[in-house]
Amino acid sequence: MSLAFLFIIPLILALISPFAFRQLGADWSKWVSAFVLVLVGIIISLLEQASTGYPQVLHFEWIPQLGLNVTLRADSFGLYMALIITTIGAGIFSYSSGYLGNDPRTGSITGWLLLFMLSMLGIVLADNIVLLFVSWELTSISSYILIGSNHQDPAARAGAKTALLVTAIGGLALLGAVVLLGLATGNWNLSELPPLHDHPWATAIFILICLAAFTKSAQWPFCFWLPGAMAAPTPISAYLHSATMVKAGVFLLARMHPVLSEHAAWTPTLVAISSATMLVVILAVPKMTDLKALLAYSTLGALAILVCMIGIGTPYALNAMVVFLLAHACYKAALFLVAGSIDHAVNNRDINVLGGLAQKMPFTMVTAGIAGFSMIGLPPALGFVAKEMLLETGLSYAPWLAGLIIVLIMAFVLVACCVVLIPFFGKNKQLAVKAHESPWAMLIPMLLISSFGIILALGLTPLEQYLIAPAVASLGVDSIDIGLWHGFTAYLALSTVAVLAGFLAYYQRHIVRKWTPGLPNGNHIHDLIWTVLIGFARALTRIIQNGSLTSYLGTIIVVSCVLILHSWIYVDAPMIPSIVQKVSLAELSAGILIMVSSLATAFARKRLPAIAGLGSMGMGMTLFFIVSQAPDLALTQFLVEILSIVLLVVTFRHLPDFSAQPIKIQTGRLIIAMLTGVTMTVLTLVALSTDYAERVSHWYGLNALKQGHGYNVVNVILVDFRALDTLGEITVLGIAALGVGVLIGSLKQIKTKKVRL
Amino acid sequence: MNSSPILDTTLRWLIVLLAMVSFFLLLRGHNEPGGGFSAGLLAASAIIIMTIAYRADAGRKLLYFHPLSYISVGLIVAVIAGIFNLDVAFMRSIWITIPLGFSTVKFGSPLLFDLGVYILVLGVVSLFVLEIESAQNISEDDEKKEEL
Repeated sequence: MSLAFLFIIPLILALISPFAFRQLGADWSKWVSAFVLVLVGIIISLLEQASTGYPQVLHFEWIPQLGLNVTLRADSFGLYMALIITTIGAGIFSYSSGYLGNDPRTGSITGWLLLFMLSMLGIVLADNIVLLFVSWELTSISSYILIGSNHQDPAARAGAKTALLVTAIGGLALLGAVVLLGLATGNWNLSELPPLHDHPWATAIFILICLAAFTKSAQWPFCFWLPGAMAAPTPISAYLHSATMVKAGVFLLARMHPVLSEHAAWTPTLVAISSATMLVVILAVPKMTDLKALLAYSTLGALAILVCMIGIGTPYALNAMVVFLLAHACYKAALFLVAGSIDHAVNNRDINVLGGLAQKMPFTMVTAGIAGFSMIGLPPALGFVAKEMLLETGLSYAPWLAGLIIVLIMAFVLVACCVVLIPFFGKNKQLAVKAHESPWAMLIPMLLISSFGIILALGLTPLEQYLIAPAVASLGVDSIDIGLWHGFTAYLALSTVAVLAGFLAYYQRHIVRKWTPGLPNGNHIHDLIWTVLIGFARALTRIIQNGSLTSYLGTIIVVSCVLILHSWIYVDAPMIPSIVQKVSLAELSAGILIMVSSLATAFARKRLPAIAGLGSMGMGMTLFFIVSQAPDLALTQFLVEILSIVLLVVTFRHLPDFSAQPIKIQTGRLIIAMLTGVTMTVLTLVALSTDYAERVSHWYGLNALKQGHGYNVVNVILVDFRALDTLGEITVLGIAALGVGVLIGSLKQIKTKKVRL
Repeated sequence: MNSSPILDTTLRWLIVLLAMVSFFLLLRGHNEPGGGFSAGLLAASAIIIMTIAYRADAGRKLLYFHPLSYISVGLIVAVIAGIFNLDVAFMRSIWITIPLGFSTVKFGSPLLFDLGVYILVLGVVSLFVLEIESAQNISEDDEKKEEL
């Protein structure tokens, strides 16, 4: 039951957030932080049960017909992720109370952050795959709003839109994957999915899952959205785009590992794509000067390593993945917060300008130092443990991969040095004069999050026992003894080389920058695709929605005629049934009336006679109904005819006069008219030749009084037997009226504007 | 528009008559020719007559509420008529018999549904006529201003 509180508490807090912020001001975020710490406690209390292999499950039915049940399952890996999400979340809320202060948007930002946290918890704890998809989409939406929370800034809007578009593509892919998974296995629960690599749909599912994970975790070629999303306020970048949301793709791949890892394309695809991403990062990092951009690109690299480890998929690789996930979340979130504090203090994030903040911001500097220690991977930080494992895995897969990882670690060292050293010890001191240390509400979470990287490494044995080993076990592989110190191994030598080379690159960073080949700007490619797509959509819309009522009606009529005739020729036997029926004098005269008046309408030289012709045609129809003893239809037809004549007469003064134009036969319209005539004739004859209609009307006749309590069979059909149809029809009628109102309303607006001009 | 005493007097009675007949059609609809749709059309013709005779404002005044309110209320009434027997199915009818001593009156949810159709049709047709008529007025004003 405590599982439910994980979702109820953030939801309630999110809903009351705008109001609570108005009452409490900046303190509200601190309160939220305290509540989120309660969630951390709940998660810790769930850990023990999860490690037994029989985790707590919460299940209730939502839409059971669609296989959509809210099934939450607190297994160890999910709780591991949830622990990262809530712990860093608690820090972020406290931090943002200082960072955003009394900014009026804080209330809604806090609310959206809570909703985001809720949906992240949904992703990691969902057992039902449809619920997973719903949570996935919720993170996309809340991230869109959070990136764009500075909505007066065009860059923020553009970044938010790009992020939404890319993650929405991934969301659609995930929907496809989820549906295919559910249909292929008949099972909608993650924990019960069997290995699927033999299934004919396995490749399709694999491609879709990859698309979803790569877009969410910003892998090549979708990597460009993440740096663009840095327009968000820094606490949001720290939370969404380093610690949690971008890890959702990694999480998805890890969850799918037992199901799809036997597929032949699993390892090659994941390793290739993540290597491409690493390459992008290696090429991009030396060119960056913005603190957040540096951190964003190194995050891309970290995500690539995580994807790569899942791709390799050996027990050792998965162990490395789980350890690095935690290490990265701690140091990267902390470094983002450091960047945010510097930005907050001096309003600048450019490493060419920053410097000399060591005296003014000592605690921030300490935080940066601790986090940088872990990022570089020096003992005894958790980053060190992770780095050794990554290198070992890379080397065991292929030497080139180890080489790539070494260069990537160099890039990490470069980033860490740029972020940790330049702002505090840089030579430029002009900016530092006005600087100030951040308030405690920002410092405490920063210090805590960064020092987790050291504390957890020192307490490696309990960490392994309670967190990492169960998490790895719930991924379906054996956990491996991890240790802080493995002695002097080849990996240690490699990693030392990498770190030293990284330091060298930092000291010679101007040379490195000069000699790094530039990358094509991802945003340009994105803009190009965007322009082409929008242009295509515009062109298509111009063809389909050309605004001409004549062509719309023509299309509708021709398509329905062709469909009817097609089904008559190919489905039924293409023969006109012979119906011998006596034609009474009344019917004959009604028919002649209809024919004469339709000809008169077609050849009328003025509008009024045309309308009159149309009316007398309708009266002929009414006559038919009377002759066939359908007074109800006759009455309604009669009223409708009168009303349409009145409406036409009221309208026709608007329309241009056409009496001056000579009568000419428009071949296209003639063909459409004749096609319609032929189709309707065929349809009527075919309908009359079946005895189906007879049986139906007989049934209605028998049951109208018995079940419908009415003598008027037509009315009973309309309001009782087929009431749902009638409801649909009157809804359409109402919507059509709305459309007319809007159309004429806009016409009025155009006209009044013209008058004003 | 010029007012004519003959038109005024005739319309006063005609509109009452139209309203009564439309109610009559609505109520008898279940057993005799009639029903919500045709009754609604008939009621709307009262609005049309007023609109054509005295322009859109008179029609609006007679209608009293905005046509869109009729449309929405009609839809709501029709949906409500469907929920009386919801545990069986949406739109499943129920009937009750009210004894009056000398006779009995049967009342059922389909009659309520028909009432919804009636209100909606009245609103839809009135909206058409009123909007078209008032758009025309603007274009006439337009022409007048251009003449001035």
